[in-house]
Amino acid sequence: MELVKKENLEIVKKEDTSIKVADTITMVSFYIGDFLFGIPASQVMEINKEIDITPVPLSDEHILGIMNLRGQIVTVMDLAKKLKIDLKVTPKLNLIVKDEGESPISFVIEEIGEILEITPSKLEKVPDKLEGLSKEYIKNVYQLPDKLLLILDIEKIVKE
Amino acid sequence: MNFDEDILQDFLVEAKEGITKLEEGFIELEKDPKKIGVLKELFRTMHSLKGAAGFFGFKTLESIAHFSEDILSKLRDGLIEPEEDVVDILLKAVDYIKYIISYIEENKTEPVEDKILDFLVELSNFNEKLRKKVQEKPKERIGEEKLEEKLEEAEKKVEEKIEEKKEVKLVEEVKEEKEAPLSPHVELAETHIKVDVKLLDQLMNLAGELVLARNRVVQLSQKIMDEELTRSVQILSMITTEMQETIMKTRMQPIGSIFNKFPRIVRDLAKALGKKVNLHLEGTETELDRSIIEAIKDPLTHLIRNAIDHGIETPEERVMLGKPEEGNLILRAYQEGGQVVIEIDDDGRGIDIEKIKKKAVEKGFMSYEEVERASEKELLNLIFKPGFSTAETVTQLSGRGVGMDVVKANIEKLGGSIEINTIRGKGTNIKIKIPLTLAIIPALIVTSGDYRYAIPQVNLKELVNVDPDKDLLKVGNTEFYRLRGEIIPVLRLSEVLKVNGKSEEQRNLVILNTGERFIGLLVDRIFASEEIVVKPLGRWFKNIPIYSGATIMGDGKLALILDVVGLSQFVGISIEEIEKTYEGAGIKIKTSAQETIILLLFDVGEERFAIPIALISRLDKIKANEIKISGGKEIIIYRDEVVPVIRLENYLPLKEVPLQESYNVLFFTERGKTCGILCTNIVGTLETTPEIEEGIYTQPGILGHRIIDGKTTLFIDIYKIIEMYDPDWFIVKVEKEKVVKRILLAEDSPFFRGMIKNYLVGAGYEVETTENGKEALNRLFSGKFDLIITDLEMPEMDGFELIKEVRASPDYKNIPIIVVTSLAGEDVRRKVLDLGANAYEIKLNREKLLEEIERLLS
Repeated sequence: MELVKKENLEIVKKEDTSIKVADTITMVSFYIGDFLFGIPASQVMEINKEIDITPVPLSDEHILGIMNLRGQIVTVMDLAKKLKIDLKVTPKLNLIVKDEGESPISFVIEEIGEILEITPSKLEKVPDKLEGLSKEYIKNVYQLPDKLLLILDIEKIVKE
Repeated sequence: MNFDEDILQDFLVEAKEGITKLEEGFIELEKDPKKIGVLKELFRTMHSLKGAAGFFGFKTLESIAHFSEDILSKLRDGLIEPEEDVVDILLKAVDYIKYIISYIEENKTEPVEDKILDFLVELSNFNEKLRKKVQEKPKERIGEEKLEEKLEEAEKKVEEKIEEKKEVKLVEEVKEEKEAPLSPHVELAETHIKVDVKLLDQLMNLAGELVLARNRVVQLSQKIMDEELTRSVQILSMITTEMQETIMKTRMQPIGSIFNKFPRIVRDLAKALGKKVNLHLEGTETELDRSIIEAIKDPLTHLIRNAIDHGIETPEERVMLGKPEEGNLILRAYQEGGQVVIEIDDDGRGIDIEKIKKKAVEKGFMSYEEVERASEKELLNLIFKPGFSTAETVTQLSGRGVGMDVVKANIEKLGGSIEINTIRGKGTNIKIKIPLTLAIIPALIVTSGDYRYAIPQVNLKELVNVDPDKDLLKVGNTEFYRLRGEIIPVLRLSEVLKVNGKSEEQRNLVILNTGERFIGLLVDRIFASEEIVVKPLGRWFKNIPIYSGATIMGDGKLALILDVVGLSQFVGISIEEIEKTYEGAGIKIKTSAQETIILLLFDVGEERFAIPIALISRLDKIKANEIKISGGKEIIIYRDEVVPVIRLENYLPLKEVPLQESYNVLFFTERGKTCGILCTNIVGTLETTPEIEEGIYTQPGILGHRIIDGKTTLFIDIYKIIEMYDPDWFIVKVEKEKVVKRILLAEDSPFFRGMIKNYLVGAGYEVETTENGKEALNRLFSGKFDLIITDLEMPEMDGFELIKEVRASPDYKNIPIIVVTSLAGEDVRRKVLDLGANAYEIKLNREKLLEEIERLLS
């Protein structure tokens, strides 16, 4: 009896992973102005509303400062500035992203979008006509029925 | 082979301890071959290692240990001498054992390599050679045979026991049985357990978090003001602190754990360089945070290498110089305040300042003029600059790309500082100061605009309240402040941080010590000092030099931690430039740096006077009718003693002083004799520099004057006044010496100069005064003197250099030198005595100084 059960479980598990890996990726989406951005959910630590930023004078323009995330020091980045989007963002939410080997980083955003499941095979190259932001930090784009989802290259954003 | 993982772990731990013991033992042995105790210990350790290796079936290890043990037994029984080749091969054996152990640790099995087998053959042959050598001396053979028997017997026992219990530990017990008396450390083992360091680190972090959480709760409870809550919070607070301290203690390790690695390094290095070095370790029990211990190992190794390579001379050179053949290297650790001091002291050739000067010009670090003007300290600090090395030929050992600049950077990264002192021909002393722990540091909290910043307490010198408009002077774009005669460049925190918006009026000047110099930081507000937990900042801030991290405050908000060395980069122009500007303007800037005295200010009639409070034994008030006349002099009866009283107006040209109903009396006591000085009114005390102006008011009894709080204040020379009152007051009845002794006094402060001179003359000496070391030196060479008294901090040439120069001159190398100072400090004292001074006294202590002079001149 037990053996059978175990086997079943394994099959279920296998199916589960295969779906995720092969078919879709879960994306957290959010808006900056009219742009809709996506970050893989696996890289997002949490989203919260505790905006209490301590500025760090003399730091780069796109760094807003640091904040206290339950005892951890988190760097806060103004993503709009980093992506050179000409727009003043009023910080409302923290989107906290993991940074391997370093303390996490928070992108402050105004509005969170939906959680999306996307199919990797349908990812497209960044089109040349995309304007109004710095394209080097966009990895791919993904065509949604009504909008273009811009997939961020988190590693590049975090490392440069 | 299959054995329990735990037992193997036990074995590895024990083996490592054994290796350390062996290394230490061999070095000790080489120094003192007769130490039978050491030999026994070595033999015992090697024997346990052999037994355990055999148990696990590590054949090679067992064999190496076996042969080593064999050699050791011959040493122990005095059959052979611990000559160099013997010790060498034994050390080599330890190296192989070390290698095998680390291999086993990783791979759980012994390495099979040719080089190990080759060595085994070498070791075995060596052993055979020794055996033959021993056999040539028939008498001693019996001893050896006996030992062999004993050994075999012991081994048998070991094996039996192991088979019975399969417990490595027992090897030790067998050994103990054999080697009465029983050592107690077997029992000790039960009170200690081994804990993973990571676990302790985690515990430490959690404790840090707990402190923060506690701080928040404390703040909340202060808002709520509930009695019961407050009490509970107090208890929580207390326990938290205690727990934090205890956990910190778990991370503390004796510095000996790295010091003990140095005997081997020193030995190998000395041998490679053909030098003889005797290493002394002091204060090995001094405890430091584990992470710091790890971090100072490399800098220390580098400094020790330098000391042996550049400092200590070859045995031939030393003998020629009249030094013992063996150089001495002392590695000393001790606690001082919240810091640990590590000193590396050698008695080698010292650092050649002339060579540094030459190199500084050659490499473009300083101009020719700058070099000539620079103090010894400034020149020595060049050693820490990247690209500066004094070794003429870069040897393989010292100069391998990592220089003293890296050493300094590493120590500063730990929040520490490094300082070099050197005496040509006598040796070099390097002093490293590091904090006890890195994780939690005391810091001063200041504000700029709306935000708080933390300044590590170690960098803090003092806090001064200033009026920026009046007290700060400006040269070019740099502001500076004069703190007791020293020029300190001032930064405004809000300007450094480029914080816009209006700031409160900044009146708080924080004086910071960067290790090289002082800077002032003008901040909005100063809060209390707090214990903070240092947290690193992310990679985006690495290139901003003014922060060293961040911390979470009690209210959950963040504060950036300021890096003082980084801040100092924002100082626009150098102090030298400021000095130049002001010299040009005819303003004298330099006086005795940092020298301060506490003055007592008092009025007689309308005149204001000052006297160092240290000279006064007591202050009191008396009624006018208590003053009696006896023998034509005014006296009072004070505490059953007849005390003559002196009215200053009788000796100084003062305006008429009206009679008063009561007087304040300053009592002055020396050698059991007391007199009192009458004054109208005591104004108060003031800590200040001994700066005075001479001229207008100078006359016997007055050393000079100065404007204090807008009023001309006369500095009285109490010794002169008393002498005027009674010329015999200070004369002690001794037989007058036929020859009057001549004393040379070097002192830059006119105030001290005048006072010391007067009391020396009063004591019957002839005194010549000079204002700095250079002048003193010139005077010394052109006249005959019996003794030199010198201040330390002086312009042109300071006291340290004066002593060095005097001691270096053949005619005066034995003249007694007394250093007088207003700043007492053990390290300064040690330094001047090392330099060759005979005594070290406090300026204002006339009695002690005179005693010392008498002693040195007799």
